[in-house]
Amino acid sequence: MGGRGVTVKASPQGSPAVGRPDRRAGGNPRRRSGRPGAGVLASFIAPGLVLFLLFVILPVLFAAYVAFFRWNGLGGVPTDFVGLENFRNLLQDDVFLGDLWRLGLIVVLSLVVQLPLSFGLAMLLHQRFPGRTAFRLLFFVPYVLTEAVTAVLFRLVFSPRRGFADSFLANLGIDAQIGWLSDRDIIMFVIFGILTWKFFGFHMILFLAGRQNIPDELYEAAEIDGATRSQAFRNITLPLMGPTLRMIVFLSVIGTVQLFDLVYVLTGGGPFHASETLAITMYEQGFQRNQIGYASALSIAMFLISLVFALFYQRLVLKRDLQGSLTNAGGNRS
Amino acid sequence: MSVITRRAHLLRHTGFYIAAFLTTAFVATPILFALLGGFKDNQQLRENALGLPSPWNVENYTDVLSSGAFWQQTFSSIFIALITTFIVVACSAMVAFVFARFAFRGREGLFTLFAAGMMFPFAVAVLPLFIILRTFELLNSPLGVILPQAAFGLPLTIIILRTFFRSIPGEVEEAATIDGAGPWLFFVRILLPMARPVLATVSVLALVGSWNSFLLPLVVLQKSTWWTLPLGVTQFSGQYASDTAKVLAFVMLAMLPALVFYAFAERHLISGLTSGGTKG
Amino acid sequence: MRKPLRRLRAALAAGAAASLALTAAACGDSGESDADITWWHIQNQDPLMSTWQEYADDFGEANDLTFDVQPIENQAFKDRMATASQSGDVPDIFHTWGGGVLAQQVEAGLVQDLTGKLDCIDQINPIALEPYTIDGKLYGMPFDAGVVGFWYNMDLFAQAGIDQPPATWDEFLTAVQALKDEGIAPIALAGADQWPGHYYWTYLVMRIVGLDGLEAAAEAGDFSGEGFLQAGDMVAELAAMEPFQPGFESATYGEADGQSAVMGEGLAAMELMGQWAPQAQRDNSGTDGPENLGFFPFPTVEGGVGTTTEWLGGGNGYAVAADAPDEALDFLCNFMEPENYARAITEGNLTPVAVDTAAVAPDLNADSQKVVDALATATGTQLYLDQAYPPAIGGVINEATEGLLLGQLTAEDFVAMVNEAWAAEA
Repeated sequence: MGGRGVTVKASPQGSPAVGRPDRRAGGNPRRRSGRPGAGVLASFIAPGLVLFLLFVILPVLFAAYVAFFRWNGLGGVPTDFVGLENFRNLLQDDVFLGDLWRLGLIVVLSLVVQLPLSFGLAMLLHQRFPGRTAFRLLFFVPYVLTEAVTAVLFRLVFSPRRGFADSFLANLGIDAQIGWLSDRDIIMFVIFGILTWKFFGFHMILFLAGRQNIPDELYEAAEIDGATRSQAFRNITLPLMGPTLRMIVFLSVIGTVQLFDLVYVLTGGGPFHASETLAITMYEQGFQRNQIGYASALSIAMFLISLVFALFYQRLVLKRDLQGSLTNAGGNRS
Repeated sequence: MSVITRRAHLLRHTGFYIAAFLTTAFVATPILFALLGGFKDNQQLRENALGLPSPWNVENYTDVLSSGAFWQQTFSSIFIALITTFIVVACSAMVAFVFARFAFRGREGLFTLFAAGMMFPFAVAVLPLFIILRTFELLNSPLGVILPQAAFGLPLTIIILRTFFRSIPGEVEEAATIDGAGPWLFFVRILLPMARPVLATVSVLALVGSWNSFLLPLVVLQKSTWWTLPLGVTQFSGQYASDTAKVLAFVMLAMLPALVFYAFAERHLISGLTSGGTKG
Repeated sequence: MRKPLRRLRAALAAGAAASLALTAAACGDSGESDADITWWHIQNQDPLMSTWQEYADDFGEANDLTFDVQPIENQAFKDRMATASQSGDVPDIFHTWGGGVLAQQVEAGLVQDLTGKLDCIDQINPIALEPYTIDGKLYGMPFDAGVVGFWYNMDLFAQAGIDQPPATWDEFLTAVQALKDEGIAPIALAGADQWPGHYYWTYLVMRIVGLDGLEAAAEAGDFSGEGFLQAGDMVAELAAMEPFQPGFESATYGEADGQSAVMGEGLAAMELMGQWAPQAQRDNSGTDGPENLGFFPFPTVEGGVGTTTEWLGGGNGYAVAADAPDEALDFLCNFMEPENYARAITEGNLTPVAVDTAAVAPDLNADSQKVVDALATATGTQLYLDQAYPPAIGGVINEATEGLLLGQLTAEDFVAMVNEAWAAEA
């Protein structure tokens, strides 16, 4: 699952719609059915654990190791130990720094444009109107389409002469030759537009679920107290939607960190790195240029960015919301 | 109902439909462009990118549908998605069962390890994974895609299933134990059947994840034997770069399975994404 | 809602069962292609795409072999070959331009030494074998060879009042300006593909410091000389005139609105490209190409030591994987069968590498003839730098040229990047 796929993975935990786990039975494993031996338990855990250690933990450790070598990866094992050189080079690499800047740009744009849009639509679709189910289904469609396939489609939509975008503008009488994919100054906004197309429906669904979890009684009570609609919105809807909002922000950022499929197929990171992402730089260096050590350092940097963000965000923002949040899911709680 | 509220109602209705239709246009336009573009020829595409095809030209679609590559890629995608799903759900259910219902030393540490896996962006691991798969001689093999995908699917699936398994009252287990059922028997005969809805939900998530996967197959599957649809579409669009209409037809056909699946499994997909399946 | 769910569950269960059985079968051969011979080539356009397929089919039938033939777009091919080389498993037969890229594949033990193994080798002009010869051993078989030069639309040049092709860089810039003044896009360029851009920088270096100067710099891994900076500045100067078709920054070579289609449709006046350009113009634009297509060598630079008889060029060939079956070698020679080779030359307008050109191509088309003549009178040739040098360096040169052309790098940045790449390779 590439690109923003992680959004799918992470959502349930924090989603406010999480049905309260049944504490009566779950939380405390008091009642044992006999005492199954260690062998029986191991037989349950072993397949999953082996798979996980081999294909999740080992690669990350391996990347952390290779990041300290210069290695072209062609056979053998890395031998040319260079210490922190790869990391030092990373910090002087304009492309890497540019990746970080573009990551920040997409995150900020998402917060300022995409999330309010999805929120507004969710509020709209929460109301009872004929056809709202159909609209809800429809808005979610882009999210189920494969990112790589979407990118091929949009490359054609924005193709200079037979694409849809230019023809559409021409039909409106606007004969502006917009270099949708070729203008370094606007390429990130075009990509942001496509990301919005792809993901607003997903965020909308999450908002909608959050809104539906607010009991109607609260609004009824407010109405009885004489509150206006906008007062109810400010004092009930917004605060109670907080957890959903914070979780969506979290998912959005973690997803953006590993953005690859869509941009790689759409622009390959060009023109001249103008749309490059961390994952694309890693791919180019590692798989096209055979700089395995350097690319591993970049992988580790991506990992640290996600980790630091996750920990800080959780500590500072999510703490009060989440019952079963990420690190917490480990069960510090139970 | 007073006049004012009726007018307000009307306004709200109008506003709703304007916003909804604008969004619909935003969502549907690119897809319609692909659908209709596939029915045009390249001449039409250049001169008439917006309008309906005239004449309608089914050749692009029939060309793609009659090519072996399209069906091979569809089959590979389905095959890889199904096995991935089976492995991830089976392994996760077993692990989640133990985590949910037995206390043993190191349980929380182990669970934290799995849960922390959610924070590893897949792109971080793809380069070392490539080297590891090379060592195991799993490159160019469907297993080279399936196993890592399944492994990265474990954390979320385990967390969802554990939550569900914990919610099953202990009395059920006690009753089973009295009847002499061991953990395996209880797991297979009683727990899994009870968990059907949530299993369906996590299965849908795993299927969709595998279906959309691109970076991993891109580096693992160099030979076309096992290419999945996302790889096939990008390769096709390069090979037929000068034949835009045909590429649009291929894109449309590649999107179709996901759309059909969504139409059937929509409720599971959305409930999986929003509620983590805990509603069952 | 219940029904679809049940169906879904049933499908899942059935699928899981079926797929388990299939995995067992599939794992047996670790996904190796079932075909006896896998062949990756970049002739992804008809007529040659079909012809290649036909050769494979015929040869397979005659020898009871199965083929897996993959026509891959040029840029995608390079990406996939890079990853395949990393994976240690390359196709039995694959396209190659020779040079440093091939050398690195040889070093990794992926490529078969063809020395003395090809019966047909004496039919090929020994000069054409040079790019594929590494440390005295032959690792590839060329089927075409040629040079890079300016292909230009004579009608558009005439429209802009340019009577004869520019011979010097100054004249060239003047011609560019004249075309611009006439509202014609002077040059078609695939900015996103990078490699077409690197021809400009390479040629300027060749014209300024000469082939010897370039070779010396490559040997020393040091491109800091004055001439290299000057070449960079000149590329930047050209780019500053905005001579390329609109949207060139994201254009690729072969797509519907790419470099060769733009030329084919007569929307730009010239392109700096290899011997395959005229055919690609027709294929990619779906037209008959410019009515009057001319060819001129890259102009000289005042004060430079290079001459117009020194060419940047190279050919197309095939290499064989180290573990490929012997039949793969026979298949390569099957290509060189006079009948097959003559057909490929005619259909694909290849520039032949045969010793006896007249035998396989008695009636060469005008465009190919120009390239053949250029080769015949060449006083020196240089292989495309992105193939001649190891991949990491060639990649940096391509990337840095894109930076120059887009005004994102200076000549100094360029030199620093390339030197750094050489240092890292050492």
